[in-house]
Amino acid sequence: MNDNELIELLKAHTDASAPDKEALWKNIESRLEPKTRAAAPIKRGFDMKRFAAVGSAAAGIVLILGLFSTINTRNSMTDALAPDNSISASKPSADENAQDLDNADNADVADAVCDTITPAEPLLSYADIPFSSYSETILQCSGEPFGDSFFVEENVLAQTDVLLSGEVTRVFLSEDGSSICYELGNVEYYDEKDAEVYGEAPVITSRSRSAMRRGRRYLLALALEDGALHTVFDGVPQVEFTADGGLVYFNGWSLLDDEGAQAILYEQKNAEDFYYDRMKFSRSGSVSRLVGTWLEQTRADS
Amino acid sequence: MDEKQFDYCILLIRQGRSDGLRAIYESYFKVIYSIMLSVTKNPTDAEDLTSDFFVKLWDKLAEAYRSGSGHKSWLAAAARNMAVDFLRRKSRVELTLDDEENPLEPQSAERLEETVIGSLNVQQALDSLKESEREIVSLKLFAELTFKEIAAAMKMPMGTVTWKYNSAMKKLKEYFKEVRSG
Repeated sequence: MNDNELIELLKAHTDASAPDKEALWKNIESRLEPKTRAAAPIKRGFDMKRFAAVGSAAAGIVLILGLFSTINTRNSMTDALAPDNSISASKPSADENAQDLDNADNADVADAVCDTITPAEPLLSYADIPFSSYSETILQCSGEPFGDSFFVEENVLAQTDVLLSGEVTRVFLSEDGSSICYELGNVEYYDEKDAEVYGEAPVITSRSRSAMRRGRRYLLALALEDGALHTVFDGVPQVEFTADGGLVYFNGWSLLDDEGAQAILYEQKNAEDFYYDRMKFSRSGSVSRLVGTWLEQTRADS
Repeated sequence: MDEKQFDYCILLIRQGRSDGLRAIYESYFKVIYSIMLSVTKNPTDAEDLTSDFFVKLWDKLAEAYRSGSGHKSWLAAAARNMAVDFLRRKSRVELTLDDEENPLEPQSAERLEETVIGSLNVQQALDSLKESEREIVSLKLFAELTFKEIAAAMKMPMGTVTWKYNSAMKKLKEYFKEVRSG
């Protein structure tokens, strides 16, 4: 059964059980009480007249504030690009506050780093990709990222003990502050045997500078060490699902590539983030090819 | 019905003109009914709630409406809240539903058996879903809301909404595959 057939079946079912439209309207109409007072105007979220009245005064203030903002943005960019190894869970730093990727203000940062990039293909802004609407302070940890210095797809897959997709439901620092812990929900284990071992709400750790966000869904290659799961390679942002089933991933994941993949502009987290301009967006995403390759390798090894 | 038309209908309702309510009813009667049915799982309750909803729209909701926020998601959220409140009140009274009180009306005597069996299968399939999955499917297919609008109406992350929708559709397809092969 394809999607259209299923949708038609569901709609037919609702139609079959729906009451008589005219009879129901008569019932509703009989219960309406007459109104006598004058209609109130419909309030709008944006009042044009009010805006016009204060527009000229506001324009002057905006100009002055714009000057201050430009100065502050330059200063915060310098802070954002400097390495930061401190624990900052309770005190958001300037780069954390500036790095809300759902905020259109990030366009200023994106424009500034654009000068250093000469992509061969059209750039898509990360801010324009539809993700879930969660937006909050991003934690930073003090530990060194897990994994090798350089991303090699074959090596990452070879070190992957568990491959899954899951939604981040909770984020917190480890006791010693060296890792960020993520509790996952709505988990799909690509090797179903792992579901029995790790359960519905596994907690994993990562030391990536590109921390994951609560409420978003990721495809994660995980290694098991001392009884705990951690991300295999932290040097690049983890593979992320968009709201409409697309993928955002580091371009080293050749198994995820498809014909329609586009280069995107991801925000540089610090001076050691060499991957921010090597990210891709794919609307369809070849997750099955990645999963298939990993399963073949896993079963061959076992 | 687009946003401007909806705004105009709301204005008519505030002026005490029932043709405004009628126009909204014509456009969204089935959507509101499907939302009520997805929450209550009971056609009789869903019918009563649909009627209550439009009366409430006339009495109070139209005054509270603010243009610019997307009227479809606003209607869906209001309908869903009403259905959830109804279920909570009902569970306090501890009413139990008797299946015999809620028969599905067959379309014709000749197709009675086929219609009832077919409908029971669909109903069983829908009942097998989690409540949130059922609601999301209803909002997506009948209210034709975007995932973003559904996320706003259900106060849920959009990633969760899309995941649950895909999961629900997968479950429904597998259910019917088993029914057909069985």
